Amino acid sequence: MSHSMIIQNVVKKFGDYRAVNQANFTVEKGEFFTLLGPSGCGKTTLLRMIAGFNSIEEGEIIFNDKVINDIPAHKRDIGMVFQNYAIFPHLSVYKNVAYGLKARNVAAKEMKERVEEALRMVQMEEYKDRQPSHLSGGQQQRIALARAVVIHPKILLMDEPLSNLDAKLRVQMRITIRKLQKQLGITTVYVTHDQEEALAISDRIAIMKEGVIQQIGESEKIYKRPANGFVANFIGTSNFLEGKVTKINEEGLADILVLNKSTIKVKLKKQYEDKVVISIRPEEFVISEPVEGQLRGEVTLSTFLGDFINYEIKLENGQVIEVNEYTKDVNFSRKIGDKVSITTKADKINIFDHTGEESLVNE
Amino acid sequence: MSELQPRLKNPFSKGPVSNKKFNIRKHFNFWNMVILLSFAGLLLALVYPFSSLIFRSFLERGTNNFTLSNYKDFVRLPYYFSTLKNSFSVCIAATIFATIIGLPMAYISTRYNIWGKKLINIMVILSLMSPPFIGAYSWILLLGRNGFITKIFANFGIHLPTIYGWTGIVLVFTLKFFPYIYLYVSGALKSTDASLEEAAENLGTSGIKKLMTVTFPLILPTISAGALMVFMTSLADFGTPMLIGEGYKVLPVLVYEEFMSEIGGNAAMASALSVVIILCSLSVLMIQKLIIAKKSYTMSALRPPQVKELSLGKRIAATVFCFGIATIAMAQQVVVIITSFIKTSGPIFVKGFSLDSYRLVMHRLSRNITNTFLFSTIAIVIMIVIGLLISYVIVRKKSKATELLDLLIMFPYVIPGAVLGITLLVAFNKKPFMLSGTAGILILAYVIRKLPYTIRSSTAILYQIDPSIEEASINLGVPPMKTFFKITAVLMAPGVFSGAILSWITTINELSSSIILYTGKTSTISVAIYTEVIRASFGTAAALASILTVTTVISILIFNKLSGGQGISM
Repeated sequence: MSHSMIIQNVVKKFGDYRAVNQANFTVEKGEFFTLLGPSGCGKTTLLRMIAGFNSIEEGEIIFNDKVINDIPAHKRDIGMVFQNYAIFPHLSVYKNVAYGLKARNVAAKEMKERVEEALRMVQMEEYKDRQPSHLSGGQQQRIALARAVVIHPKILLMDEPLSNLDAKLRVQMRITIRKLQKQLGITTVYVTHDQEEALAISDRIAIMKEGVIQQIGESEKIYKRPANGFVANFIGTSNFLEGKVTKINEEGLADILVLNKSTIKVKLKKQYEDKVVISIRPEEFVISEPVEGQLRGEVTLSTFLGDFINYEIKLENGQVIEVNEYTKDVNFSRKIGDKVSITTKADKINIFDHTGEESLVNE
Repeated sequence: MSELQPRLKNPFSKGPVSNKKFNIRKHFNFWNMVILLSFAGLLLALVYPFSSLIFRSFLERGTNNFTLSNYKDFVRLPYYFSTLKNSFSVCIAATIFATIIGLPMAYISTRYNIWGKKLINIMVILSLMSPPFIGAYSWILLLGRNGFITKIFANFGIHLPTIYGWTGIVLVFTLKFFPYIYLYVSGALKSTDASLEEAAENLGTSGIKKLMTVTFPLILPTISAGALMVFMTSLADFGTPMLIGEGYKVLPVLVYEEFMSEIGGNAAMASALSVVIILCSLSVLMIQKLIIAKKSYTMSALRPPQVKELSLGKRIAATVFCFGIATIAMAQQVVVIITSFIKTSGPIFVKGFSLDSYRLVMHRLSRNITNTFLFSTIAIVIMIVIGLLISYVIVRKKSKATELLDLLIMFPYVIPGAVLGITLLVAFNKKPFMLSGTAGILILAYVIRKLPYTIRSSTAILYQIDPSIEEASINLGVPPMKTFFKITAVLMAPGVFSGAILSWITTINELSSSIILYTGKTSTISVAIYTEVIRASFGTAAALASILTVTTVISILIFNKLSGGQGISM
């Protein structure tokens, strides 16, 4: 049956380097949890620690109240889907899927039923007698998925399973995985470096950087309220503008001077009077004809992308920002050289302290 | 952000203590035992004999005092030193000629649509696989003093230049070992990425210039590896110069004579000469590695090069060229097989065909045949087991220790068979290691000498098996050891077996260590061929050589079947 999992103060060292540093989180029963981060951030290392292929130097990994640190990999009862599928090349599709059941001495009749059911779930039942070498990457990935879930694992681990597929197939498989996971209610830890994929597929995401978890939360929350500058930059696109708190009252309502030009009012979660970093998504800007006293700039590049238009706008201080306008909201697209004014909605933007390490706005 | 859970206390988790315990268990696992036993075996079978060889080379004859005189004599006396020059002369010449023949042949047969590619390939492999001294012997039958061709020309009053000496040795080595260049280079040419050459053409370079600036530089490491094989095997070969060299003496022949001759034999001198040969091989190997280290490129053929269509005339010419060379190379086998059916009267061939030679062999030399197959089979089984286990630790359990293991196991690669034979004989002729005169010492020599082939092909295939396949099996609940036998070993099998078949082929044809180690009871086919030739009993020698050749052909066919027609890789 599906289990919850607690990762508690977990550390992985390679020599003096901490590949995973004090990781802490809980994955609820049936949850789809994603470890997201750039390559080398420790996400795969952490996944392999859960699987039992990497030793755990400090901390504990707990399945349903049971510490599994010292349980060898083959006794952990974890399903795993590998980046390169790791299909046994000398076994047929059927035997690949049956492999884990054989190791568990499942009776012949039950084994047949379970293998066939698993293959049906990934729509591969008519391929069961094929040899893996005759299957495409996407088909192999489906077999890998069936092989991992057929053993009814406590937890399902997936290590960048879609990275070797082409773009269209990736989106298709991502839906297949998501549906299957919900249908089986299986606790899943998924690793990817693709932020769009993570946003689309996960219940919650943990974003990692240099072995440290930066933020954990639901897709929407992470996108809208990133915990720090790294997250704001890694997830989606953000423009970072320099600002300064000029006035703040007791409730935290602050006047922030943006680029020494215009002032916005934002409610901060704590008393803070210093320089700040203002993070604004391209779609949170509003473009208008030039108005005195607002941020102004000149269109330097205009890219029509169908449902929206992406502009590069050079501000008066020389900084170039990215702004999106939805095609349905406007009657024309702006030309290179057009002079424009930029405003933004105060409740949609994020404010970080001057180091970018801490968010100053409430969730 | 705050995902911290109340810390769960687990009474069974002992923190650092349990960690330590885990480590002890980790260090006494199966694979570390394999590493430990391998080192013990190598220490006994390789390090000990060779250290005593080196030690012995510094002993004064008679008194057993430490001396440098053996080495001084070697440099000072032309009788010794000339053999070094001779060895280098024939080896360099053979390497150059082999490259001149092998390179164009490989290029033509991989890039152009000539006929009968598979047949050419098999012919070339076949000519490589039979022992060199059979080649020497058949060229004597053809071009020797009473040779078949010599006589024909003599009838017209033309006297062919003598084949004995430098010419004969170089001829046999060239025809015998050019297949290394051919096989290595065709393999490399097949796996170069076509887009590289297309890029060259796109940038305006074509024809010979493209060949010289892109194609050949890319495969230069492979060419030099092939050339190295030609050089090393030529340097190590003992049978050919012994049979066809006559007065022209090379190092291995000198070693053999120094060691074997009852009057004037000098084991200390033989040891010193052995050390010299090993040093020569090692330095050639080092030079090749140094040159190549800077010029090695890894390529994955995303798109293998296309085979070009030739016009009919050119196609015929190219095919004739390739078949011509392959036929000359294979002539030796044809000659011995035909000869084996010719009627003999004592040492003289007479008109007509018969099976007499075979009858004689069965009557007199059947023990040699059983010995050959028995010893080789035992050696192969040992090699497969050791190869499987050791290649796994070399590839998957990388550490300083396994790197050393890899290096040590490859060491016999550079040791000529005669030298290995002498080394083992000297080391194991006293208690507690009394092996001389037994079948054991022959099998030991075969395993040490041919294990590198098995290890090489096993590691090569293991590198192609993604470790995550093993992890998948473990993850699905099969313990690591069981996973090794159920998954890894099964996937490795084709590589291990094809390496083992190559080892098998070279083992049944092995002469140079057997000739030192055999006794009347443990004599093998190749030893018998050699002694029969020396006794001028050419009929029986030919019959024995034919038996070896046929066995070799069958083995190659099995190899091709096993390797899925992927061809021989060495």
